[in-house]
Amino acid sequence: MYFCQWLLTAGIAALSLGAGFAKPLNGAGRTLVVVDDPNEYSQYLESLEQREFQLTIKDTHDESGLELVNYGELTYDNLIVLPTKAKSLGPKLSAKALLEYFNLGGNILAVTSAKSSPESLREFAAELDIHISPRGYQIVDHFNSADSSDEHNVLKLTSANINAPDSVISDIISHDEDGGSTKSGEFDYEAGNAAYLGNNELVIPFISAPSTSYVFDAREQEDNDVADKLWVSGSQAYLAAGLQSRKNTRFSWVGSASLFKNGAAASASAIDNITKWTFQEKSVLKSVGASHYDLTFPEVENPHIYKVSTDVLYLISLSEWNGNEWVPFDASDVQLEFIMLDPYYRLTLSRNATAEAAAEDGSIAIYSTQFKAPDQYGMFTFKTEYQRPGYTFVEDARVVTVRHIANDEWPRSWEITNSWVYLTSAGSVVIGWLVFVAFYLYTGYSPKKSDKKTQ
Amino acid sequence: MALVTGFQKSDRQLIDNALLLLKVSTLILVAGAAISSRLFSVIRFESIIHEFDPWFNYRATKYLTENGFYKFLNWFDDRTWYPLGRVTGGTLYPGLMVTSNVIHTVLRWFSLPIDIRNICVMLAPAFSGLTAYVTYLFTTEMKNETAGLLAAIFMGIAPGYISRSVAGSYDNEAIAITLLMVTFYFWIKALKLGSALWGGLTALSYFYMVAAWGGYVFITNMIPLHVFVLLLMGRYHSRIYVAYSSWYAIGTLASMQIPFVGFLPIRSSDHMSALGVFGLLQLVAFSDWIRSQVPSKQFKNLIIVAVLSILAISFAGLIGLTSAGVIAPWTGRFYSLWDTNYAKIHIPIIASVSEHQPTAWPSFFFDNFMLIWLFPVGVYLCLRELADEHVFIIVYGVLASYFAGVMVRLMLTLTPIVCVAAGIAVSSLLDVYAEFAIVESDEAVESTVNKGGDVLEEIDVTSSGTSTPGVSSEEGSIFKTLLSSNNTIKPLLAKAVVLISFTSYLFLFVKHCTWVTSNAYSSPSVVLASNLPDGSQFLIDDFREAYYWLRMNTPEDAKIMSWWDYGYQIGGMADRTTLVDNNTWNNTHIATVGKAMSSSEEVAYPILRQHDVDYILVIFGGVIGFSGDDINKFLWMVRIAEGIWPEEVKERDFFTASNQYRVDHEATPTMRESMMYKMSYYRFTDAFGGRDGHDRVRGQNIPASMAPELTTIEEAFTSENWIVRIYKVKDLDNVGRDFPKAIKFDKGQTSKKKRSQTELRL
Repeated sequence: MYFCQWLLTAGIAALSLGAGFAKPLNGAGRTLVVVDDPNEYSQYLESLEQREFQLTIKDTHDESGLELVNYGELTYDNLIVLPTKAKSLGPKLSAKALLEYFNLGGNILAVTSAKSSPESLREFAAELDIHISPRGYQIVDHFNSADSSDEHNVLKLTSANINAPDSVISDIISHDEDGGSTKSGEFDYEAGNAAYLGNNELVIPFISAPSTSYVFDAREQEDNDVADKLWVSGSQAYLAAGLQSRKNTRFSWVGSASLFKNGAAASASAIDNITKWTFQEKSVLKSVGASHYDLTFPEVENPHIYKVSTDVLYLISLSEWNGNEWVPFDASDVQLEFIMLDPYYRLTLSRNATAEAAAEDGSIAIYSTQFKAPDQYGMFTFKTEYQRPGYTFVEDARVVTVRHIANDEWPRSWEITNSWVYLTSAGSVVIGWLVFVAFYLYTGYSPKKSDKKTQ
Repeated sequence: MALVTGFQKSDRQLIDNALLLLKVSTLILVAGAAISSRLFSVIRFESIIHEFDPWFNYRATKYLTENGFYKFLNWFDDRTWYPLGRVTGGTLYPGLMVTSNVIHTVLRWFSLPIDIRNICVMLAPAFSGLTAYVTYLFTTEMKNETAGLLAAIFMGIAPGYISRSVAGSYDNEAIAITLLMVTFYFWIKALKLGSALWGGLTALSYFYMVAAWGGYVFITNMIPLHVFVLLLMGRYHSRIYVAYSSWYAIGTLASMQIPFVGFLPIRSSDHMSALGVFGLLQLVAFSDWIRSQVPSKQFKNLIIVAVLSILAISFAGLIGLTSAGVIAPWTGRFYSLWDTNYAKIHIPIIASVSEHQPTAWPSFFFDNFMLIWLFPVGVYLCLRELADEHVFIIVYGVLASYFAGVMVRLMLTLTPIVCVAAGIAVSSLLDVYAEFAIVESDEAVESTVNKGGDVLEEIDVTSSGTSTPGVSSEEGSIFKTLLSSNNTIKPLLAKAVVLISFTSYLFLFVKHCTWVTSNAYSSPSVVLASNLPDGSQFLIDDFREAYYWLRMNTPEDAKIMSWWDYGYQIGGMADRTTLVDNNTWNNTHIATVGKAMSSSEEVAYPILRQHDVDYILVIFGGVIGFSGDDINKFLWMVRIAEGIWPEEVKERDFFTASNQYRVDHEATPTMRESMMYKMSYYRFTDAFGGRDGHDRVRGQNIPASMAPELTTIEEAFTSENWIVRIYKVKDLDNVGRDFPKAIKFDKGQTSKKKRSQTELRL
C-alpha cells in the first residue's frame, strides 16, 4: 500500500531535528539583567541560573556590556529590565535599540514600578500598543486593598484578575495548597503602575486590575483634581501584559517589582509562568515539516504539480517544548487551507496514529487530512496557520501547481457511450465510401465516350 | 520575349536557359536583399529578441526544445498569471515554435549546433526571403513572370512587411505572412486547375497558417468571399466546386486539431461564412446539375426559388442558433473592426493596445511608399482583365484596405496585395515602354507588329492558364490594348522619359525602404538608442539592467507585479513569476492589477498580500524623456479597473477640475495618492537636489513640497536612467503596528509624554 512509503519519508523529515536541548530553548540562555541591586531579587535570579540561564548583571551606569546587538548579531538572547532608580536606561537601551533587539529575536522581560518607569521602555512598549503609565504614576484601590495604610497601593488580586491564556499562565498554586493546578488563590500586588492596551492583535493581556482601582499621578497629590491626572481606571488598566511578535520573540511587562523580590512566594508561580513564557521555556511549538502527496503517485514526496481532482494527502507534524524536551503537541483545532486567492478548502486536521507510529519519533504529533483537489487549475497554497495566543505562531505554506487535464488523459471516445452514435456514423461513412470505390472500380462504368462532357 | 520568335531553335534554347539563369539569380538576389535589409537591428545592436510578444514566443520555444512536443502541448505555465496560471499549451498558436524547433533539430542532426536564440532571431528574415519567392509565384499566376519578379522585390523590401519581420522580431506574423501567400498561391492554383490535389495543398498550408497565427481567420473569410463573389458573377464552375470543397473539408478538419482553435470553426460566427459558402456551393452545384438534366424552364425557376429559400432558412437558422448561444456571437475584436469606437467604449483592454488604433493616413505612404499609388492601378488592370483569379485580387484589395485603415497592425495583411498589384502595374508599364527591340531594328518592329497580338496571346495563355471564357479576347485585355496602341506611337523619347522616371522611382523606393527599415523598424525596443548632442549614439539599456537585477537579486519564486505590457519580458528576461502578461486572457486579473496601481496604499496593500506580490515594477520615463511609460498608460489601468470596480476606481478623479491630466501641483488628491504616482515620483525631486523636479515627458514640474512618501512598499532598485523602478512589498510589521506608525517611530517623530489617543481594548 502507498501508506508505508510516505510514512518513511515523513519519518525521515521528522527525525532531522533531534532532542537534547538545554533547558532554555536552543541553548538560548545568555541573559542580560539590568538592575541596581541584584540582591533584592537574588531568589528569582537564582531560580533562573538553576534553569541554565547565563546571567550578566549590569546596572544602567555600566556602559560596557549593554550593547544588545553587535553587528547585527544578538549579544544576549534575553533581556530582563528590573526597576532602577536612574531616570533613564541610557543610550544603549533606547526605544530604538530595544525594538531592533526585539525584531532580531531577543526576548524582553520588563518590570516597572510606581517609582521606576523608564521612558525608553515606555516608548518601546507603546510601539507594541502597551501604554505603561509614566514614572510617578501609581495604581491604587481604595475599596479592596491589602495594606493597612491610607495609600491603598497594595492590590489584592485573585485568580479572576488573571486573564492570560493557559499557554502563558497555566497554574497558580494557591496559598493553602488545596487545589493543585487550578488558577486560584490570592496574591498581593504592591506599589505598582499599570498600563492600558491598544487593539494590537498581538498583545496578550496577562493580569487586569480590579474594577475599583485607578492609576493617577501620585507625585502631585496636593492637586485635588485627581481625575485630571488619571492615566487609566478600572478594569481597563492592566498590571501585566505581553506580546509575541510575528517572528515569535516575546515581550512581557509586569507593573510591580514586588512580585520579583525575595520572599514574594505568593505570586511566585505567576511570575514563574510569565518568565518561562517570555524566555521560550513553554508554549513553544514547532513544525518539523509538512508534506503532501498525490495519492495517485504516493512515492513522490511534495510533488510540485498536481492534476485537477486528484486525491491529496497532507501531513504536518507539531511538537511542543515542555522545558526539557520536545513532546507531541496535541490540539483539535489545527487547520489546513488550500488557497488560490480564496481558500477552496478549510479542513480541520486530525492526529494520524499510523503515521506517528511509522515516524518512530516520540516527540512529534502528526496531523493529516485527505481531500480531493478542486476541479480548478492554478497555483494553490497548502497553508497551515496555527496562531493561538501565547503559543508560537506556526505557519507552513507550500505553493503547488494544480494543472489541467493533459490531452491524453481524457477518456477515449469509445469509452463514452454517447459517442457511439457518432462513431457508428463515421464508421458507416468510411465503409460506405470504400464500398462505393470498389463498386465504382469493378463495375460497369467506363468513361469511354462521354469524357468531354464534364464542361 | 518578343525577340524569341525570330531566332533559331538552338538559340532559343540558349536564351531560355539564360532567362532561367537570370530569373533564378534575380530571385536569389531578391531573397538576399529581403534578408539583409532585415539585419539592421542585429548589426546595430545585437542578436536579441525584440519587443514584447517575441519574448513569450522565445520562452515557449525554449520550453519546447527542452521538454519536447508533448510536454509543450500540455504545458501548464505556473510562472505567469499568478496564481491563476495559464494553460499555455492550449492557448497559443504553436506553429512558430514548432517551426523553430524543427529547424533546430534538423540543424543539430547535421551537427550544426546553433543556439535556439539565434534561430529565433533569424527566423523572420529567412521566412521573408521565402515570402518574396511565393509572391513571385502568386503574381506569376496573376500576370506573368515580369510582374512576379517585380512583386517579389517589392514584397522583399516593403516596409509594411519589414515592420513585423526584422531580425529579432520573433512573432507569429514572421511566418504567417509567408503562409498567407502560400495558401493564396495554392488556392489560385487549385481554382485555376480545378484540382483536388492543389485544393488539398491549400488545406495543408491553411492548417500550418492556423497553427501559426490567429489571423488565419482572414483566409477563412477571404476564400469564401472570393467564391461567393464568383458565384454572384455567375461564374460557377466545377473547378470552383472541387477547389473549394477540398480546401474547406480538409482545412477545417485540420484546423480543429489545434487545441486553441478546437471547435471554433463550427461554433464561432467568424467561421460561419466559410461554412455558409460551403453549403451554398453544394446547392449551386446541385441546381446546376439539375438544370443540365431537366429541360423545363419552369422547373429551373423552381430550383432557383428552392435554392434561395433554403438559403434564407439556413440564414435564419444561423441567427437562431447564435441567439440560442450554440454559435458564439461575434467577438469584440470583430466589432471593433466595423466601429472603431466600439473597443474604446466596451473593451478598454483592446483599445489600450497601440497597434489596435486606427491607422493614420501618412503611415500608408510610410509603409508602402510609391506602391500605395500603384496599388489602385494594379487593381484597375485586374478589373479590366477580370479572370477568376483577378477577382481574388480585387476582393482581397478592397477588404485589406478597409482593415488596414481600421487597425494599424492590419497594414501587414494589406502589404502583400499592394506589392502584387503594384508588380502587375509596373510590369504592364514596362511591357509597353521597355520594348527596345522594336525601336532598334525595323525588321523586329515589323515582326512585333505582326506577331504582337499572338505573342501576347501566348503570354496570356501561359501565365493565366485558362482565361475566363466570358471575357472577349479581343478587347478585354488591358495589357493588349496598351501594347497595340504602342505599335503606332513608340517614340523613343516618351519611352526614355517614362523609363527614367520609373527607374528613379524604383531607386527612390529602395532608398525609402532602406531608410524606413533602418530608422523606424530596427529598434529592439528592449534597448533604446538616442543621440547625444555631439551626434554620438547613446544606448539606454535600462530594461535589461533591471530585469537582470531581478534575476540575480530576488528569490526564484518571487512574484512580480507590473502592468501587463512587461509581463512577457519579465518572464523571458528576468525569469520571474508575473501576475499578468501580454496574453490578456483574464480581464479581471488585469483589472485587479490596475486597481492596485490606481488606488491608495491602504487599499492596494491587501491586494498585494492576497496575490503574494513580492516586487512591483513600474516604468517611468520622466527623467530621460521616455514617453511610453506607465504614467502615460495610467489612464488605461484606471479605465480597465473602473470596468470591474466602478464604485472604487473612477477615471474622473484622476482629472483636474478643468479636465486635465496633470501630475504637477495641480494633480488631484486621488492621483497623488495612487500607487502608480507615488512609485513613479518617489524621490524624484531628490534627483534635482531637493528643488522641484521636471518631468520631461509631460513637461510638468513636480513640486518638492508634495514629494510622495511610501509606507507599505520600499524602493528596491532604480535603473540608471530611472526608466525601470522596482519596489519591494514590505512584510507585515513584526510587532503588529500599522505602517505609518512604524515609519513615524523610525523617524523619531513619536510624542513621548502625552497619553496618546488610542482605541482601548475592551
